[in-house]
Amino acid sequence: MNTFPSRPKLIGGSKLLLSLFLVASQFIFSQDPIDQTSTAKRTPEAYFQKLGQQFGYRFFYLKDWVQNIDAEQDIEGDSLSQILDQLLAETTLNYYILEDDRRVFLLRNGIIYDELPSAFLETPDSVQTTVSSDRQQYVPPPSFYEEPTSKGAREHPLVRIGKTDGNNLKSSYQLSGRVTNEKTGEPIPDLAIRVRGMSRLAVTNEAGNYQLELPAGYNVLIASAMGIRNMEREVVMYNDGILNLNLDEDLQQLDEVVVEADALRNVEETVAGNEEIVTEEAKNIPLVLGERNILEIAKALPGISSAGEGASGLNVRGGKTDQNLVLLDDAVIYNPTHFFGIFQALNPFTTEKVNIYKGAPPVEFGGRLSSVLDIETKNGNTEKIAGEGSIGPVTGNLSLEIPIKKEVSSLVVGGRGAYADWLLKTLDEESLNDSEASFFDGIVKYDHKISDKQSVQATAYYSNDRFSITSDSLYHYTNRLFSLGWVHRWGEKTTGTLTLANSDYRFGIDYDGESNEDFKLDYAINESELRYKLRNRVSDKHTLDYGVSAKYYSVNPGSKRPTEPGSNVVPIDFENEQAFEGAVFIGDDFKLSDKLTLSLGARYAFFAALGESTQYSYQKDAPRNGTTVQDTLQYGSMEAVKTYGGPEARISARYLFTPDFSVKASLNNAYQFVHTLSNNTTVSPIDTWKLSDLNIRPQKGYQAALGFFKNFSDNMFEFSLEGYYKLMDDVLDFKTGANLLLNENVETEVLQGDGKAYGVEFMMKKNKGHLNGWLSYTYSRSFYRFNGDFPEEQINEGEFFPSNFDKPHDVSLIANYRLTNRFSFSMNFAYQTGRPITYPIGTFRFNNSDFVVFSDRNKFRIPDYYRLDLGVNIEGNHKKNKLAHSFITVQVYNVLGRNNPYSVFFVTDQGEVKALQSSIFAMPIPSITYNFKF
Amino acid sequence: MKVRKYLYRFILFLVIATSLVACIEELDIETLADVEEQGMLVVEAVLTDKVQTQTVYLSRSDIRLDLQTDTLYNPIIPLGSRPFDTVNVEKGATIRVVGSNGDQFPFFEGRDGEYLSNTQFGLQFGVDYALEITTSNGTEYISDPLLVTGTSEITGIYAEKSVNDDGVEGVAIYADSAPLQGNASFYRYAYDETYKIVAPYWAEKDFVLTNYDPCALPQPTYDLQILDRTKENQVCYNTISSNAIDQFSTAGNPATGISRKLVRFITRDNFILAHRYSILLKQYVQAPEAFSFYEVLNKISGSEDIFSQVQPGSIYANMHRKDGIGENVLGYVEAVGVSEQRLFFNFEDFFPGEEDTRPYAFNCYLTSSPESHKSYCDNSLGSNSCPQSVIEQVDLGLINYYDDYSEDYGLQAGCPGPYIFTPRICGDCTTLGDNVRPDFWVD
Repeated sequence: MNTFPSRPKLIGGSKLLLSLFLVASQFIFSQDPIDQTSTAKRTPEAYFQKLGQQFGYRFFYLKDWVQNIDAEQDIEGDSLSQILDQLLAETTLNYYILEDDRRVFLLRNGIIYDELPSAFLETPDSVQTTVSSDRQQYVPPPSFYEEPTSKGAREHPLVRIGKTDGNNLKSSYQLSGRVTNEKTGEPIPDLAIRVRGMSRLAVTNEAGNYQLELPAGYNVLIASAMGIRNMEREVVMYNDGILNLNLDEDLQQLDEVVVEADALRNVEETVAGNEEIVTEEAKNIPLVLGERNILEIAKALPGISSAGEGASGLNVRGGKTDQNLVLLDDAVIYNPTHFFGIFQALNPFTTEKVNIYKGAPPVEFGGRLSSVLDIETKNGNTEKIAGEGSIGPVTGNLSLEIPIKKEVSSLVVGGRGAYADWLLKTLDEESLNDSEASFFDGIVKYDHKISDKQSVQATAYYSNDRFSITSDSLYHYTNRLFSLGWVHRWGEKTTGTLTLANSDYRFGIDYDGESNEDFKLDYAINESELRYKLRNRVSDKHTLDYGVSAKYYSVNPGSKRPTEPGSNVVPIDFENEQAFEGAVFIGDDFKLSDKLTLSLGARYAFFAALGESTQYSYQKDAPRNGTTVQDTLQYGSMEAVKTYGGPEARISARYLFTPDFSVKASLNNAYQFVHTLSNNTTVSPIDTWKLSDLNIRPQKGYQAALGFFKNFSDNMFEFSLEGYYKLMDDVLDFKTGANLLLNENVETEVLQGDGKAYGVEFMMKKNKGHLNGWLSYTYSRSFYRFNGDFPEEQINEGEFFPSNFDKPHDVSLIANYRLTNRFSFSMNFAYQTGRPITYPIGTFRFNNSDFVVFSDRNKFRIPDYYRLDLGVNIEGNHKKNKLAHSFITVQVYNVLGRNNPYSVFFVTDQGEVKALQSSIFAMPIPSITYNFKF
Repeated sequence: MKVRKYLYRFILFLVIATSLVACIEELDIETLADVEEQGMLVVEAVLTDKVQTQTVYLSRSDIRLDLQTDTLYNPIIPLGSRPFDTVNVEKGATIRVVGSNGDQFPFFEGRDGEYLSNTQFGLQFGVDYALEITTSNGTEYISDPLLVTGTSEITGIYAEKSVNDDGVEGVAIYADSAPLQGNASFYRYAYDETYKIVAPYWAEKDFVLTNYDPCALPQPTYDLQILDRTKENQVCYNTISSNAIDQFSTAGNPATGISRKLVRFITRDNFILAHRYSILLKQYVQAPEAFSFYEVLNKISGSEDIFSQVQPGSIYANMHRKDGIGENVLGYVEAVGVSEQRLFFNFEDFFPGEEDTRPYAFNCYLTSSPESHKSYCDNSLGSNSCPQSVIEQVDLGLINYYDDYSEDYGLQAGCPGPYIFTPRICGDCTTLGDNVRPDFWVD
């Protein structure tokens, strides 16, 4: 029941009414009398006219508003109010009767407030004090909405939800609805819908449904997710209601959009220690020779570092480089870098993003101690052909998105090749003048939506590197991988994902020298994995993830063959190693309350080294070496040589103090059954991977972390402070000068010890505005200890020593400044404590030469590292109908020209000792890259 | 479109102009503190199965790291006046080799930390030996058991004109060998090379300077004579031992022989090839542990890969204290089966008709300068733009007489004098070798 006190004069001053009168000229003035009883095809206009005549009122309304009114119904009623109440009950219209002038105004959504909210006028109005009622005291302020003057500026029309119920006025209303993809009609799950200016957030469920409580009145909803076009909808809430959203796919995302999607991610996620790098977002960051490199950007994040500039391999929270699981579309990529780690082996145009888990990773991942780098390739455009390309000083790159069947399937193809030879030629390093280096990588991804419930994705990837540092030997390595994913929705709540992946990594050395020793050396590791994972949204409180995975490894530890007849090289061909690695896992994302969520995961990892195999057992009370072999054990085909296994826990908890401030804690442990064998201080492309076996135990890791996360200023700033403590068992190191390649008794060179690492990571991120970027600081230490029973199995007498990548202070600053839509500047600054090295403490004469006596392992440090890179990004004009959109980046790497030592080493040359310092990029390196997009 | 064209040109320019500098530069090695006052004992011995005087070298490690000797010859610095490497030799030690068959071979101390066996002996195949050392301070050390694991015989050594991997012309020396006995899988090659040196500007006469007083006033006083040389220094010989570690493994197939193993490559511009050259190749059959030691030593001291550095660390000898106290001993003692063979060849054998371009250790020249100079004690002003005078250079031992001055030589000397002379390295071969012909030398 709406009652209208007869003091209409107070309605003046409301902008709503002002606009109402402004458009009043469009109102239909109903005046022609019509017989109420003539029922044939009565229009709403006619109905109101008749009604007006009947009661002696004139109706004012917009014709559009009343089109849906069922004018056919016969409404019995004594008063105009009664009739109108019934008539308009099912519509969004309200009415207002101005008794003095005998006029009736129909209103969409709103009601006409006949008095202003108490705080509206600066001085209290006497009328207000006299006519106050209980109901009105709790009435929220009316919804005022200013019509924009130019309607064309708005992409989506204003949405009015519900009709104000004067009896049931609330301060907030429920908005619910379903979000679907405009092109495919598919529901969009996991879409974050935020309210501008508030920290409210709704996330769509599997079926695309969402529910959100909105304050009455004008709100702006912001919906954004990866691959979805950023949407802002202006919504005026009059009552509870439904708003279904159709969202466009978006393949040309703007930087800020991506960040917005995750506005509260860092605070709200249960699991800490996760980082996400979106390729597109990171494209402005200046890097060596303008090559986009996600892995390099990862090093600017807290807790992630590497041994040095140009060193491949990441050290995550004090872990060794072999402790990272790098996945490209769910298949392991063993060496994700080109050219000694200077460039990434991933095509930046086809790479959507990388998720890095430094803490407790999702339960389906396992097998590495330190981190998971989950690299995702983008899905192709199913509508039209799109492409991206770049021409830089080192590589040329082209990627295409090709729709195969409209809205169903598409193909992404990317290819990248290097013309890096010139680079080596220009190096001011004589020994490299005869060298060559080239690389390429290619990727194909196909995705196919079989139905609303099923989709299939397949990825194939190949990369190849060839380089020769000296003219007599050519090194080459390749990654090859294939993955197939099948996603099936088993009803509303359950989704199954079947993943089949195969990865192959191999390297070789072709030696063709002056002497009679030419040979070809090869190494290969191949793994196949089958994994089935189910996700069940049991209830609002529980989401279960569970599944199994099985992996089969086959390793060719090396073969060496003479490449010319009569060669002195003795052919060597080691028997293959093979193993099975399996896991069952279950995890529950458990929402105890709005504030407290838990992520509980358990995983049982199992490993069996399988025959056919020859293993050696060693005397128990003697150092392991060639002379202490006790037994030679033979194992038949598929016979278990040795099994290892154990439970792994992934426990995380989050407590929200306020919607934008949380604390998180996590505990996790892991087993690792494959190890790299490397006696270099940094990663080298000819490091081999070795499976655990009778003599080499799996590595084990334990980590506890605690972090605080806070967003400020409407999520413009993200702060995080995380601390961790980590223990590792049975990590591998090697005897000095160990011979790891083509060594049948490689376990005699391996030392297994323990490690500990701890650190504090601070990060401040600014996501929005003309100036954005992040500042990170990490204080971290990592130590290892190899304390075997015998002196030859100890390092530094069995004491803890700092690792090669123990760099206590690490500062990174990445900033982008957008001057205009077309010009932006970016910078990248890095400072790190110099890494530890083993330094000579003396010399001795031997074999007519001088040699150095080395200090304890890692007793000294090289000078601190710092570097500043700058870039300017110029976008082509934004004309709509251009053939291609272009983008030019001009970058200078190492602007300060700092000669950062990469390593310091000591050689005996012509009988004399020399200390040499190598630097990779010792001067500013400018580059220009031309990117285009169509 | 014009703008774009320029842009492309600019890009091209930048691409070309960009030079990426990955450089290796040499550092000054600093001396670091915190090392024991007395260096570690360094033992070096290659005991062979050949009956000969066996040798053991003892020294101490040094905390000095600036051991570089500049081996470049500088004609204006008197020879022998520069610092050269010294080794802290270990004196006064008592050494013997003891065999498991009861044999004992004592050693006596020679020069420069060299200890020589009292008698000639060779290690017997199948017998365990140990090296025992008692240093002058009474500390006793003993080696791990030493065993000759196998023997192999060099069946051929030959030189060929060749081009090395860097595209440089030279002479390559190859060897073939065949296993004889035991397990011959691990090989190490060493050599002593001897070469004939002929001073290119040698003359029969030389300066003899006497009664020289550079400070006499008003003029320096001296007697400069041109006399026949009294010392043979036109033709010399020099022998140098290899200092590189060259190893080869046939592990997995020990019965196989080795053919065309490159043991030495000498570039054409190396003066050791200039006349006649001889190499005594020694092929050692090593024990696996010894092979591994040398390999590791070589690996951690020879890695010049700028992108990945081998993790260095301490590698210790197979010697330890008898009393069990953990003291690090450097170096290595090994027992090897040895095979030696010598090869001679001449420059003309590989570069016939190129005798005019024989390489020499120094870019020799003839020059001239005034005979005398202003007295060192003459404080009157007056500049002297001429090079050092003859008498000064003769006094410092820098030059040799070549001829009396003559326009025929076409010298560009700004201050001609009465004589034509040459840097001593060009007129006196004893600066580079010994004037005594070695016993084994065959012309």
